Amino acid sequence: MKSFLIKGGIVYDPLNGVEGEVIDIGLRNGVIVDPSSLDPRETIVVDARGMMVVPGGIDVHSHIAGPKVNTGRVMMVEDHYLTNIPGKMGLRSQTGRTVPNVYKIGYGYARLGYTTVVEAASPPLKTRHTHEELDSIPIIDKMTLILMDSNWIALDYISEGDLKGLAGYIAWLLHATKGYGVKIVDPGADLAWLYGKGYGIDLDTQLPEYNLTPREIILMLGEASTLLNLPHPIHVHCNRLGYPGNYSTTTRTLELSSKYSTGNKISMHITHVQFTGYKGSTWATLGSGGEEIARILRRQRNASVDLGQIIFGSVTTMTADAPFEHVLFHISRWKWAFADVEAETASGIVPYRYRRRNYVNTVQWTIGLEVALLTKDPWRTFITTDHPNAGPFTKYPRVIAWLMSRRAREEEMKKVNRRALKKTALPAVDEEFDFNDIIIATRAAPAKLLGLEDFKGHLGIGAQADIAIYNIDPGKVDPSRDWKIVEKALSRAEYVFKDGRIVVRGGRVVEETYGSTLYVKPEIPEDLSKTIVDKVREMFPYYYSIQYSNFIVDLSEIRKPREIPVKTLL
Amino acid sequence: MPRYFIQPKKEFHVPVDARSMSPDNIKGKSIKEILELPVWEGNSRLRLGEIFEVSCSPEPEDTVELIIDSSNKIRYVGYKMSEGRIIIEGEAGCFLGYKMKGGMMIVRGNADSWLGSKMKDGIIEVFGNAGDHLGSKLPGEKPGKGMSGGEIIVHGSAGSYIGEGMSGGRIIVEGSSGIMPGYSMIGGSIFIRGGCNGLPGARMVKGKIVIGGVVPRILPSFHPDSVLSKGKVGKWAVTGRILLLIGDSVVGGRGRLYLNLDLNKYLEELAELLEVGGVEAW
Amino acid sequence: MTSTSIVQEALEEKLGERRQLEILLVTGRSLVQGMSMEAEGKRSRRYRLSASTLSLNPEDAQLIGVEKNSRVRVETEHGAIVVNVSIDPGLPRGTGFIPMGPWANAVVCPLTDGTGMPKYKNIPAKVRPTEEQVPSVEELVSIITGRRVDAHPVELDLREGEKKIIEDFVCPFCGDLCDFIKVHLNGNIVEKVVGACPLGSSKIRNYHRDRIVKPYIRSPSGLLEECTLPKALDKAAEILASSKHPLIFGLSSTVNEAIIVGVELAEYLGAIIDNTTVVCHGPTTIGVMEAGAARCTLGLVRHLADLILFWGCNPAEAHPNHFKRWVIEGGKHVKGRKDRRVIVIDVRRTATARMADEFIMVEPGKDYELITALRMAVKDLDIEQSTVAGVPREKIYELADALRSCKYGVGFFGMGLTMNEPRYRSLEELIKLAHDLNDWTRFTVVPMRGHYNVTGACQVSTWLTGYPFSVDFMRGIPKFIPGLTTATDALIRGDVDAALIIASDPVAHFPRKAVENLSKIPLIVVDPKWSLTAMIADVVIPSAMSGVEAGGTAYRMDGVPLRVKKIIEPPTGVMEDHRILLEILSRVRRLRGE
Repeated sequence: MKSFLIKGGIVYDPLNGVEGEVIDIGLRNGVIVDPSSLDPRETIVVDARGMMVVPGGIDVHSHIAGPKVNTGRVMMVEDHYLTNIPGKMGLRSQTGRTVPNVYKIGYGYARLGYTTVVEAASPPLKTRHTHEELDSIPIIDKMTLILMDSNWIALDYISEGDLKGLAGYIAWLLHATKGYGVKIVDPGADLAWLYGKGYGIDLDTQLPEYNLTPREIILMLGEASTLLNLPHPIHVHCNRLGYPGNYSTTTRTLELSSKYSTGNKISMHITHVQFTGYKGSTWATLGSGGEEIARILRRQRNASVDLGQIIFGSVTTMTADAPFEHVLFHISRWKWAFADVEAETASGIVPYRYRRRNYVNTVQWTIGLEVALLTKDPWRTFITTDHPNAGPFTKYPRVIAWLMSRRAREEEMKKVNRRALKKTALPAVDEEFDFNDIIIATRAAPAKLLGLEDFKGHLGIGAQADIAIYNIDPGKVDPSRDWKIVEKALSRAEYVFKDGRIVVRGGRVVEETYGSTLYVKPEIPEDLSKTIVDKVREMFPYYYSIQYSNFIVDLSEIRKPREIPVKTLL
Repeated sequence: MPRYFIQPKKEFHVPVDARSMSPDNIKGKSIKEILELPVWEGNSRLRLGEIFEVSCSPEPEDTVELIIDSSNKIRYVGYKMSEGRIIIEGEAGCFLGYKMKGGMMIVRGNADSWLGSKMKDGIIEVFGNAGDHLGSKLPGEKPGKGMSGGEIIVHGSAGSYIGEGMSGGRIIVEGSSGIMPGYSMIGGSIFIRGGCNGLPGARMVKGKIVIGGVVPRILPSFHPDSVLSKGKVGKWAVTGRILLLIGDSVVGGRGRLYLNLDLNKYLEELAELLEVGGVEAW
Repeated sequence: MTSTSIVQEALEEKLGERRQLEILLVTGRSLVQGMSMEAEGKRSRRYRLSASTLSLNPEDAQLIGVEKNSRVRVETEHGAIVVNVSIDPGLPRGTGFIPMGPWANAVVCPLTDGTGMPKYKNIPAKVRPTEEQVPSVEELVSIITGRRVDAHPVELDLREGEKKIIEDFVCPFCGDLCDFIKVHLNGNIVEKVVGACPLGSSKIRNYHRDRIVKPYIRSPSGLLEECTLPKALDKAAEILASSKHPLIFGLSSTVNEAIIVGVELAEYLGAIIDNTTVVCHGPTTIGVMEAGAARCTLGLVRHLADLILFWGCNPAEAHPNHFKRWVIEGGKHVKGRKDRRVIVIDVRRTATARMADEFIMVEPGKDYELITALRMAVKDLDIEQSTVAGVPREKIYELADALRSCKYGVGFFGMGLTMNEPRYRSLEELIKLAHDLNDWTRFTVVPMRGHYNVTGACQVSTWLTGYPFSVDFMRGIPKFIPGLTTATDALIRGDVDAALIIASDPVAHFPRKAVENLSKIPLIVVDPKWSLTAMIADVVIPSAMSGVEAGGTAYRMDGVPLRVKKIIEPPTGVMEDHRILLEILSRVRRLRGE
């Protein structure tokens, strides 16, 4: 494999305290090395003068593969009619708008300079499908979070108060599915949905069947996760998503994060906080709860959020929050696909459109930006659009422009619903992220949140050689004023290295490679492991419709598995 | 304006994508330039001149006219055309006049499916038969994404699902049609002089469907509104009693479905609920 | 006045004069057809006897003076065929049934109305007694294809050896993908199969019969000539590389790993790639495109379903373990069969109907009207007609109420709905009915998928191309237009100039016109067994039997992904589908100068 020397670039590497310095970066065999150790005869020099050199981007929450994504593709068939790019020079053809095919996803992320993406939610029983589909996505490294809040076996442990058992089960489940972390979606809603309930449940709503509330579920899963010392904290989609006034559910959920955390680590990640950041009591009185959430988030240093920022235009909403999607179906009255998964979870898919003139959509649009700008902690506010729910991932550079430039926001605000803006704080917000903040929020912080900061999200020696080079000189461009230039540059990376190979050049994908699938292997004591396996084996034929041995995803099924061993506290 | 003659150089055994054959693309071009236009013969991307002969007649026409000696393998002729005239000698392939915006097309023989799909304006006249999904939207699209304007006239018969999802325009079929004409339509009108294979106007919201002949099955979600003694459309009159039904109630639709009571005796059961009304001209 | 009673009147008129019976012909799966297909193969007597038989109502048979084993000539607008008679008291008058196969397909309607699905059911037919002989499958296929039917079936050498019991084996037959099967092996002999239904058992136990073990190329003499594998692969690559619009079809009886390569090959060639969904649940899938879905995994049927509907499907014959696993077995909230209400809606009293609590007979081809009336009843709209689709209005109101007031209802549906004239419109409506019902209770509708990995084929196609089936890469980008890119229509129109058929048998299952056109183009077949298509192919490449000799991923009808296993080595020199396709792809690349 070739070695490269990236020469003269302006480096942003927040994990190593580098902020806009000119540093040469050396890479060999897929890893970053000391440039002086490179053999000049075998090294290709990449002239990065006047360009920004940063680690490859990491997206902590995106729906890119799995059963509901695929059903979304079928249902939104018309999305594929006009959005085709033929494959050239060894690349495959790309199609799709809101739910693209695997090639459009992989190439799309690569062009943006992203090299790692987390699939946000997978039902354990169908995670083999998620992995198969992830394996077809080129270039990026990936991992998947595993849905657990309505899982019958987990709920059995939770209702018995058996924390160790729960921790053991989570460890077993993550390893059986080759998953990466614990996903919680409107906790308990999918359980209630089986009984025709689950609409707008709050933290203390009594759930059917089990004597539990969502609060208890979150706390126990959080505690178990802490016991397991998982690299990624529990990943929570709050209750009452989509309901006016739900910001208070979010703030109360945030406050739970300190109840079971240890030390400074983040113990709870709340996802697409925009969708659960509404003030007001009805749609007509909707307002932004962004300020309140930012205030609580500043205090709750054990929690982090990602934005789920709205992009005006068509989307396909897809989530494990099945009852909410039923409500959305009633609002949009066109198509709806739902699927219930035995003993585990459910999902819903509904196409939608965010319109600038729409009062509600305008309020929604302000919330993500408010939370990021008012929390003022890019280490704990991640840039996402909950792709494809709030917007397509291809619009991340637009979100970045809004965060970096008040002017960019103002231009958008000219076109939106003016009445709605009065119910939000955004017009008065002056804050602007700088380049360092952006790189923190899209590289350094996500690497830490995923517990991968050893080799991802930074450019120090020994790091994985996933690097993005953008044709923009941070010293010469004022992002506040020239946000359009920033957006353009970040939309098409000048170079992207994946595991030390050039995959993007001049904004175009030039080589199709396949990344790794990361999964965790929590090491739990043998006696606990045996107890859990015995219990699961016993419950399996009753709860499930397949055999225990056929449930487990084998490593040989994954193209490039990469194990992240975890030393638990058990 | 010149008149162009386009003839295939051989018999085609695979589909030919001829979307570049429209007056908009040809207007103002020399023969040499026209021969360079892209076409697909199966998976081969070719120049038009490789598989078609093009000649031009000096007789002035009021508008650009293309006369195409076609077979049903040649698809997408007249794609997005907005002016001019196309005359198809022989059979027209699928998607003739797809997204047409204006101008006029005549097919001397039969036309295949998806004729005038998503048409915005213009006129298409087929002397033979037409296929399925005439004037329709594509699968998965919202109702209303079908034909939105213009007129399609078929002198022979047409296939199934004609006018699916249409929001405007007129479809006239002198023969009969397959099943479910006017499926999910939200506007526009469909006239079928003959019969149809059944279930007209399924899930229609608004618009008008008139069927002169035998319709073996209708939906229970269409409710009788009135009986009319006779009516006339264009140069033909529908004699006999006409039952007007409103539907499709499953989608809260107020579309109007006119059926021939004399030829469809089984509708008497419904007509009996009403009294005979007056004459209506469409 | 229903169409059946019109038929009766006509019958009475013609009685004694011409002894001709007018019926609506229905074709579909039958247990014996399925079993014999897998066991002895399609040239066997048992297959012929089952697939070349017309079942009639006893009174209809009497009307034209025929009885069991008499021969009749069945004629439709599209063709005629001579078949044997069998009597089925469960059939309503005016309806006849021929199991799917080449005899049925000689007379079914090839027109798909732009949906890809030919008209396999409710075809007006005239039946007359005859002295003519029922053609054998070879005769029939050679007449239709104009090619010499040539097969070299081999029964694999069975040798005793290591004894082992494979646990949790996944049966590779139907969409139920039973994964609790125990296979007792002795060397490469399947001694016992425990837990599988007769269809699956037949497939597994008879994996060694009727096998293709060598590659063949058809010689100018018209017969197949054995050749080396590289030669066959080269020839296949040559054919595909030089064609302008090839078709790759089948894929439902193989694993995802092979299908992924199939799509890559199609994209590279600028070909159509399609799977058997097109003549099975293609309409359902188009229904999903129009309306969405309302699904659940099968375990929830067992746990929660207190009302189960079988509409237009007959699991007793096509998915024999289905009823036992999901209806009879109990779960978390429903203890078992007694706590469920099972309703069957069909045109005839099928074997499944006999196991139900209630059977509602719907007039053939009128399911769309019935679903419409049900939607009206669920929305409390008045129905003016006294009967709809042969079902009395009161019964419709009653059924709607039952659907609204259950706790968790599940509707299974099959070809009875997809093969109806409205095709995907019926499925669109069924899905919307389920959506309407979710305003009252919980209700799902699950398609009874046929082949064991047709669901996987659709899933793979979707994530790679955006479309679940009938994908045309002619212009280098994926396109999906029912009626144009669907394999059935592409063949019927004569739009394809070469075909690669893998893991399926279109000569047995496509209408005559499609088979005629398939025979006119260079034809490559990859299959473990001598399908009828292999017998007339230009190039035959043997493959390992997926699910027995080759492992991989397959998806159950409810989307649950499982791994089918390799438990026996394939015959020497026989590769798995995935590798064969890779070999063809690399040769095509070389031919195109890469």
